[in-house]
Order: sequence, then structure tokens, then C-alpha cells
Amino acid sequence: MSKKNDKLKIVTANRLREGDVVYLTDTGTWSGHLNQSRATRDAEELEAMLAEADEAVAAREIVAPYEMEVVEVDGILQPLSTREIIRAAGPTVRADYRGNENQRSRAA
Amino acid sequence: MYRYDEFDAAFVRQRVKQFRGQVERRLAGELSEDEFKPLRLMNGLYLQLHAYMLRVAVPYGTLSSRQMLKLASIARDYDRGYGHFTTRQNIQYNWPQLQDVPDILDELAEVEMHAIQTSGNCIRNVTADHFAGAAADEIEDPRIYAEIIRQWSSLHPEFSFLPRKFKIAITGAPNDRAAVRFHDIGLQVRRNEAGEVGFEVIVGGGLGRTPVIGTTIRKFLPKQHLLSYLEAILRVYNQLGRRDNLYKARIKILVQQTGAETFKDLVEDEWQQIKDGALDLPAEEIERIEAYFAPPAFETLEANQPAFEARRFEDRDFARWVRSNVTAHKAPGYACVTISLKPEGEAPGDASAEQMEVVADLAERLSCDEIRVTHEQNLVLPHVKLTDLAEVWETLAANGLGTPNVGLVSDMIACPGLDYCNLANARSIPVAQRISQRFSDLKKQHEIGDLKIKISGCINACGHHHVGHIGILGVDKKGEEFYQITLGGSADENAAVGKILGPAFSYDDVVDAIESIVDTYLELRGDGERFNDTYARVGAAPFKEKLYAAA
Ligand code: HEM
Ligand code: SF4
Repeated sequence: MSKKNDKLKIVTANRLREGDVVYLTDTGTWSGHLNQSRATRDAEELEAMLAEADEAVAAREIVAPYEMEVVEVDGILQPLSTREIIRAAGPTVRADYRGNENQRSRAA
Repeated sequence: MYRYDEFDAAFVRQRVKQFRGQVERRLAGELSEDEFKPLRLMNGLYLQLHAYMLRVAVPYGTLSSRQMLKLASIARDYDRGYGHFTTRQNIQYNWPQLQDVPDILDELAEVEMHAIQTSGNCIRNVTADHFAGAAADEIEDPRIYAEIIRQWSSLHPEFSFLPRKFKIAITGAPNDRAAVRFHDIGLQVRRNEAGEVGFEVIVGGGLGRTPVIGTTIRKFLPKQHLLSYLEAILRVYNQLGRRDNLYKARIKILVQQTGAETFKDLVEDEWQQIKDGALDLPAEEIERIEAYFAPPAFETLEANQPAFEARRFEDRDFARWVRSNVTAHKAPGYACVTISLKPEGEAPGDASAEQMEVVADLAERLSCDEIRVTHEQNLVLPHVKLTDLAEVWETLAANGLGTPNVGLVSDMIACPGLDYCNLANARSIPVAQRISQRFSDLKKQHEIGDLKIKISGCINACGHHHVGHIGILGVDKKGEEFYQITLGGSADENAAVGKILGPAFSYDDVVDAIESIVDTYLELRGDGERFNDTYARVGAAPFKEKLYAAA
């Protein structure tokens, strides 16, 4: 049996090219939506996820990956720390400046 | 104003080209992040909480309209329509994409701007009094010397890998508006008894984890020795500064450990070796640079302008703005206008692309094409005719830039804090916003008068909290944001480091705490007493009593 890790964890990073905050999903892609993250309490699974992240770093998709803790509330994943709440939702200071890669004001 | 000479222009172009190649190699996988990170930092590019962040230097805080228009178009085309002016006379873009950064740097190079020396353990962008070349109290324009230092220090081979980053500030007036006592080296232009102009040299000041007020190691340094003396200081530091411990690597620690007297002797010994050598500044060289900063051709005007006086008499709002945001100019009939980037409820230091364009247009038409960035996160139109003040004010006010609060409670310095910064413990900007909302009554703000509140989101002290009359420091208590309050700091010629008042307050309670402190001050203050005067007279006890009694 694999070791239990009491904390629920996901893996996050930034996209290399754009810099956007992203999370590792079940299908191995990187999403801007935290709720699509692959979450685990299993230490070995977390290791495997971090190894996947290292591959994505080598493939130049992302930079600076790390694990972070989340909680599940009514089936929805939410960050635990204030830092990660702000990182997921955008600065708390001006509503018009919030948003993620899908909402960039800039015409790409 | 100073224009790049050809060497500079070619050099900046070459650096952009080089960085473009480095970005391409990074994206192609030829450079790893470990290899790339120092290269991007050398070009002012950080990876922050949400995204990359690009820090662009505004040397000695001076911008032309054309440069401001470029900053606006970059904000619009490559970012989210705004930029953040910082206490280091930089502008930071919070959302650039890595793949766009070489293009952004190319666009900046078009207007002679760059992001070099905004990070790394080198001599950083030299800062100067934002009223340089305009202030009535000025002895000489400090930008001349800031530029001479820039040319000498830019990519100086001996000093590109110092033990730690190195910041120099310079002021040309007795009223210190550049915080020279809180920099690694501070220079204050002085006139000696013979009437010659030179510098008081202050070393080892700084904020951060260990706030220290700089020590004067030379009361008067004749101008021509500026570079040899600086070089002597840097050499001593470079040889003896600690490289083993990041927190002990700044020159302030070296000065503390060797003792100011010994440090001074070491510098003087080193200086004797190099003095009167290749680094001597001939008068012609100073004049050559001075010519770049030649004052605009001011018109000959009456110091008293009846139309302006009449408007001030009739229109209270205008009068209030003049009182807080307009400063004396050295040329009769002119004034310096400070544009507040601290409107109620907004993020201190932020300006939208549209606002930058409004400022650029006003500067071009009504301020001899000049704009300044202040270390208090505001902008300045340095040369406005008194007769144009009303038009300037109306235009600013129509664009959210007319808040009459410069130097008042709501003119806070706030670092990016946890809303943007990777190193933060707590948010700064929303606390500043809530304080400005709490004191939204501008009449009351004017009654309270001069009061500097400064907030940092962690001990790095980018928000200068140590030198706020009221300082606020964000700390982390078991994952929650808390705020420690200090009183009695000051960044000007009465330099002081604030003292911690007592236990920290929660995010919800901190604004009430600030209000209680201001109320205590208002109850106790004597005639003409500023906050620090009252605090010096009565001590911390009455403030504490009121503040912690309620709890
Ligand atoms: C968000 C990105 C930022 C990061 C990661 C950052 C990081 C740091 C760090 C690590 C230090 C301490 C260095 C030391 O003590 O050796 C520092 C100091 C400083 N920062 Fe920032 N900073 C940021 C933004 C800013 C901004 C926006 C400003 C201006 C408002 C600023 C102004 C300063 C100043 C003036 C100091 C010097 C304090 C001293 O004298 O030691 N920084 N910063
Ligand atoms: S003081 Fe701390 S939180 Fe604020 S910008 Fe500097 S490093 Fe970030």
C-alpha cells in the first residue's frame, strides 16, 4: 500500500512563454483553472506528478513548478493559503485588472 | 535634457539584441532556467506571483513626453493597460509575456530607455531629487552628478559583481527629497565656507531587515574628486564586504562591523592612492554633462500673477490642491506640480495608459516637455507657469489625477505586497486603499497636515515602512496576515528609524489602529507640531494606551 499523505496537494507552475499561473490536470495538461487540478493525498502520486512537471520544464512548457496544498469544499478545489488564493484569483486590488490567460485584454 | 550619446544608443541596442537571442535560446531549449535566470534579471525581468514582471529604469526620475507616451503604449500593447511607479524611480509592468519582452525593450530603446541595472549585484539606477533643476531651494542640479555616476558605474568591470546590490541617491538641496541617509551611498550637495560646491558623503544607510541611518564620512568633498572617492568606497566594500551571508552583505553591515571611523580611514587611504588620477573630473567634463541638463528657456515673468491669485481666492478646491500639490520653483512665475497617484481607493503608484498620455500631453504643452517620477510614487510636472496651473489642475482632475493629498495621510507609499510579490507575507495595497477611504474627507486630511504613512508587505522594506512617521509592516502569523506598526520614522534630513509600538494587528483591525493613532496625535498636538514632534514630546505611551485599551 502506498503511503498516505494527510494533506491534499496539487502541482502549480507558470507558463514559460507567457508567465501565466497554471496547474497540472488529470490529463497531464496545464490549465489556468485551479479547479481542474489533479489533486492527491498520496505521497507517491505526488512524486510522480512532480516528475511530470519536471518533464514539462524540460519540454519548455512551464517554469518553477512546486506542490501546494488545497482544500475541497463542496466538490470544488480551493487554495489554502492567502498567497495561493491571490495567485489563483489575481490581485485583490482592482477588479478590472483580474483575470487569467483567457481574459487577457491584449489581442494576441 | 540629457540625450544618449551614440555610444549609449549603440550599447543599449546591442544589449537588446543579445537578450533577444537569449530569449530565443531559452524558448528553444538551449538555455535552462538556471542559466537564463541571471540573464533575465540583468535585463530587469523577474518572475513574480502571477506572471513575469519587467522593471524599467527612469534615470534620475526624468522623463520626456515622448518617453511617457512610450510607457503608455507599452502598457496598452503588451500589458494590461497600466504600469506601477515605484520608490526607486522605476516603472514596473506586472504582466508582460516573456516572448514579448525583446520587443518591449526594442521599443524602449527607441526612446532611449532600458531595464539595465535594475537588478543584480551591481550599482543600481542612481536616484535624485524629483524637483532637480526646478526647486527653489536647490544649490545645484543633482542629475548632473547622477549622470556622471551612471556613466562611470554602468557596467564598470570591477563593480558588476559586488557582494550585493548597491544604491546611490543624490540631492542638490538642503531639504532632502531623495532619502540620502537611507542609501548605500548618499550624496548631498553642499556649499563650503569659501562658497565652493561639493558633496557631503554619507555611507552605509539602508532599510530592509536591518534599517540603518547612514553615517557622514566626509563633510565636504570637492566636486572634481567625486568619482575617485566613490571608487575608493566601492573598493573597500568590494574587498571586505561579506559574500557568505546574503543578509550581511550590504555595505551598512560592513560599516557597522568595522566601525564608521575605521571605515572612513580605509576609504581615505584607498583614496590617497587614486586621487588626482584618471578619475579626476575636469571642469570641462562637468560642463559637458551640465549642458545636457541646461534649464529650459524660462520666460521672464512676474513672481506674482493676479489671475492665479484670483482663482485661488475664489475656488476653494483649486486652493486646496495648490496648497498640497504645488511647490516653489526657482524661476519667478513658475511652480512645480506634483501629480498624486494616490486617489482614494486606488493602488498607490499605479497609472493607466490613458493617464500617462494625459500627463505626457500636459508636460509637452505646459511643462517644458518634462516629467519626473518621485520616490514617493507620484509624478511631477516640474516647470509649470502659475498662469497655467488652473488648466493643469482641471485636466488632471478630469482624469483622476487631481487628488489634493501630496504629503498627507492618504499619500502613502505601498509596496506591491502579496497582491503581486513572491516574497510577501501580507498585502500592502488594499491596506493603503482602505486607509485612504477611511480618511476620505480631504478637508480633514488637510487639517491633519503632513503625515507620512508607509507600508511594506515583508521585511525587505520596499515600502520604506521604517521611515514612515507611521510605518506598517506585513507579517505572517500562522498563515494569516498581520501588521506591525512603528512610529517616529523619517526619511528626510531628520532621518530616524521608527520604533515598534506593540503587538501586531489583523488585516481587519489595522485601519482602525491607524485611525486611533492619528486621533491621539490630533488630541495631543501642540501648535505647529508635526507628528514626529508630538511623538518625540509625549513618547509612545499615550498612543499605546488608547490603542490597546480598546482591545
Ligand atoms: C514585486 C517585486 C519586488 C521584489 C521581488 C523585491 C525584492 C526586494 C528585496 C529582496 C529587497 C531586499 C534586498 C536587500 O536587503 O538586500 C528589496 C529592497 C528594496 N526594494 Fe524591492 N522588491 C520588489 C518590488 C519593489 C518595488 C515595487 C519597490 C518600490 C516601490 C521596491 C523598492 C525597494 C527598495 C527601495 C529597497 C531597498 C531597501 C533597502 O535599502 O535595503 N521594490 N526588494
Ligand atoms: S517589501 Fe516584501 S512584499 Fe513588499 S515588494 Fe518588497 S519584497 Fe515584496
